[in-house]
Amino acid sequence: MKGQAYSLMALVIAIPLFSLFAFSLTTFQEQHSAVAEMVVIDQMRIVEKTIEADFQKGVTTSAKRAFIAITDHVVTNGEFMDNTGYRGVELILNGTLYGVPNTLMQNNTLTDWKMKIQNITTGFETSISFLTPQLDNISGMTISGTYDILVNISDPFGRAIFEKRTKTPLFFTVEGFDDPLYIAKTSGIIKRTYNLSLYSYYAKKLLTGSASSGNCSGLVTFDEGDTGEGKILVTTDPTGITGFTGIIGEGAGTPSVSCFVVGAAGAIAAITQTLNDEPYPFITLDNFTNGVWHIPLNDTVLTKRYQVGVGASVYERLQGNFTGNNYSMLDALDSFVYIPELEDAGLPVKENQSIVDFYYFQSQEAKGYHVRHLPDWVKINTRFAEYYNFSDLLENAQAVEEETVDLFG
Amino acid sequence: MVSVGLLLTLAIMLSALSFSTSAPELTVQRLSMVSRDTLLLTQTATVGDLEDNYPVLADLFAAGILTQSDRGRDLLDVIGAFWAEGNTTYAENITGSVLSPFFNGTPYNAQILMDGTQLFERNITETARFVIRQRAIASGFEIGKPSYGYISRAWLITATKNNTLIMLGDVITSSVKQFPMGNNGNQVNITYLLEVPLNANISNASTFIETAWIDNPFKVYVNGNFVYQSSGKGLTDITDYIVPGNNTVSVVSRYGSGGAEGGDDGATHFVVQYNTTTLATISNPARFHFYEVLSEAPIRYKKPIFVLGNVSGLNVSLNFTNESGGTPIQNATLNITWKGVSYYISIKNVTNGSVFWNETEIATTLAASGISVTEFSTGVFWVVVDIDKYVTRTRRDYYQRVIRRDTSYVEVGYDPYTIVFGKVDLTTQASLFSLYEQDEAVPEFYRNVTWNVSIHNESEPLAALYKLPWLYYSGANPVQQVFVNGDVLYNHDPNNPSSNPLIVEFARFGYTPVSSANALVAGANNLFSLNFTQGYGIDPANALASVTTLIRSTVGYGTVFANESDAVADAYERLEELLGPFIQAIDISNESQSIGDVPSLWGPAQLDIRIWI
Repeated sequence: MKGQAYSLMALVIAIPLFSLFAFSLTTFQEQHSAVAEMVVIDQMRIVEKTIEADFQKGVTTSAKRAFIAITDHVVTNGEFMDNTGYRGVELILNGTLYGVPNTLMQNNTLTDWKMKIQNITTGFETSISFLTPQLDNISGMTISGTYDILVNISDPFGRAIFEKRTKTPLFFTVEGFDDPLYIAKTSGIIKRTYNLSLYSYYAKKLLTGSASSGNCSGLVTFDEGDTGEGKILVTTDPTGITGFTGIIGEGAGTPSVSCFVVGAAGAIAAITQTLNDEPYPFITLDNFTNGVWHIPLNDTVLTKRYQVGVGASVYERLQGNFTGNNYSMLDALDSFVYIPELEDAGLPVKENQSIVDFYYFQSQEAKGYHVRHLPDWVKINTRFAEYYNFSDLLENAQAVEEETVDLFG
Repeated sequence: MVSVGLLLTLAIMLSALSFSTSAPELTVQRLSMVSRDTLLLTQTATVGDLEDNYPVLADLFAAGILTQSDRGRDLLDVIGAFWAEGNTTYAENITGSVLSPFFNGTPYNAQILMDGTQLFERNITETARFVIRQRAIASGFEIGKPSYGYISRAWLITATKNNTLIMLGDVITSSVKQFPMGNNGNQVNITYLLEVPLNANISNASTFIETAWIDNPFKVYVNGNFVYQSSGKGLTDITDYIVPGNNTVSVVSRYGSGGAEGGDDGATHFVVQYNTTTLATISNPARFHFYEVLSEAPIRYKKPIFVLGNVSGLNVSLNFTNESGGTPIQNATLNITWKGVSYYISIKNVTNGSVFWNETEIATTLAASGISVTEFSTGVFWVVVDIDKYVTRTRRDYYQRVIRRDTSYVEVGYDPYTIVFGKVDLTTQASLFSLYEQDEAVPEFYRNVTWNVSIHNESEPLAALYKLPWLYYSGANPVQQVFVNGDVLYNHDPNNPSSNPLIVEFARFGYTPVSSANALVAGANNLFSLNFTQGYGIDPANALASVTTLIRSTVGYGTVFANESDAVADAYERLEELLGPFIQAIDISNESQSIGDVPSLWGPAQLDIRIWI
């Protein structure tokens, strides 16, 4: 009787445990299957991810080559694009320009990329499609686009299908590429490549003094002991100081040099801030405006760099539209004709024309005025100078005002 | 016992349940996650991000092996580039350094391979129960191919181009015989201007003079220096007399043994061979000047004009001086000859030594005859002026009629062919192909002559122009036919009144691709044939057959190379290959431009990550 009681108790304990075991086994089998599916899905996701990542490479490679091909076509054949963006897409997808196969695009189109990727053995069936891409010149020297790619990956055993649509952004710069403007306007004699200016403005009047004398430029120092030619001292009390090319004083005392601006309150802080913000190290003292100027235009002109501005955009230049003059949209490019380069090449020079590229090469007159403190041949028209707030630096201010009315009123 | 048995069984079952927590699926899942993370890191982390934490990367930057532009590249990009370049050690070091931490402290074995090349291995167990494998696609990488490279293009900036300046005479006649016979004492003095580029290095210069009549004695002066004299015609080397810049050649002809007129029959020519560094030597003058002519008798001046471009109009200006006093020039008569037919424009009195026909009156008069000046775009047209009433036999007037070169011209309105950037013009002479039917009386003349105008397939033909010393038997009416590649460009058939008229002075013939689409074919030998019958002939030995073509002087971006110098060398090689057939490579000066960091879609390679336990 006692034994039966133990057996009964054992059964009472065992039956739920058996049930639990049976349940656990079932659960485990289900879990087993779910884990397997998760691993498969995870691998599919990895395949998709790696395709997505590689697509960026495919897009960038293809688009960059397409843009090089377009530039090359324009500068070597003298034939401008009818629609740069459209031709770019033709190259990216088909590898042709106006239907003619382009060497640079051989095996480097997005279509080539797609075929190669689809042919890779991944253990899954892979299908790639993309919407018609765009190639735009959004601003300055940046070419950009957004590319929609749809990747469909399916397990050959029908366990899972993974599909993902992704937008892939594209950005690259045209720095180092040829500007067709100079080639077209000089029969190929003058060539210039895009290089962005290091500065964000052309010229800025930093300070106005209570008194000034002479005109000079130089490297800034705040140390009265750091004397020397080509140095501009910025100090609180300029009285009697000598040994510098120029002196900027916060106080109104007169220094013992011929070039100075004094009574310029806050000079030290303002100049320190300016030189921190913009790396152009020279400061100019301008007696005509009684002011202290920062003129990176000098460097931009002499180094033949471009600034995002109001001229023709990269796309417009490739399409032979060099007129620029788009003051409502500050997203295109300005450059300045380097007159000595034209003279050295024996090209005729428009003596009194503004050297802003789209003004210089236009057939109409755009009278340029010499910009003080810059080489004699640097002449800018009033509209441009006014727009960028440095018309006070143009010589012959009275004539400037009249011309402004005549030309642009 | 039963209860003990049940509990034992239960214990075994429970232990089985506990084993289930180390199920292989979960192990595989863990392996999968590790491999996935490893792989995603290679595709998402840039070396710039990792540089501070991994000395191997910092060292490569410090050594300049990795540069600023590499900082934005992902790990896979950099590993792939080293692998493709054969710098496997760098690829191994980076892979080992950056990816090994994923496996530290785990019992996992791992192997990372790039297209089969092992970059990393962690092997701590001999056998493998579970293996997981993940692969990253890596486009742009292939062994031996530059992942990022340079492309270069080149263009010609100066070169020594062998060129030929050909100055052709006009048909200029004036009486040297009085009526009814005998020398009238007049001497016809024609001064030609040879404009040789100032930077030309002259290698050879010659003159071929053919006077109006074959018996005219003549003397030749170059830059005022007497050079030689002959009769009827003569070919002479004048190299020693010609200098860069402007040169004058004066030919003074006079009465011989019966010929009524002195002057030039249009076959005179001057050839200056030179090399120059001026790439564009083609000229598109708006004004075609008359040569300076001095004569003491009325002058007939026939000026052939051939322009490259679409003719829209023309005017004619003549200016005279009266060097020796006497009766001034009275009038001048203008005719235009097109395809052998002469169209009378008008006769005008000369006022203050000048006379002018404007564009409108010429166009209107021609239009009345059904001719548009636009037709002149396709061949040679002739402007014919008579200075005073022209007669072939007359007394000498004892005052000089002088046509002033500078102010006497035909001004042609046309859109000249401008050489675009990247092209160089080249004028070369065509070669004689065949000669048949020698003239019986004057053996240097032939009735059937063919030239071969060979045009390279890389060039663009612009025009062909022929100067032809001609022989005409007065009163004859021979066949005159011109064929180019089988196309008939001119046909005078004496038995067919509707055919082209007879041209006595067949001194010039020119055509462009517009004249006949089949006339100038690049990449082919183009045959230009003249066919005459008894009574007419051409002297091929003293003829000039020239063809002007444009050739490319620039090559675009080519193959991607691992370094810039190879790309530039390739561009130069392609440029020289392009120019080789045309421009003597004595002094080619090129410029090149390269773009670096140009990616390619080589491969794709695959980064293979295997993890096992």
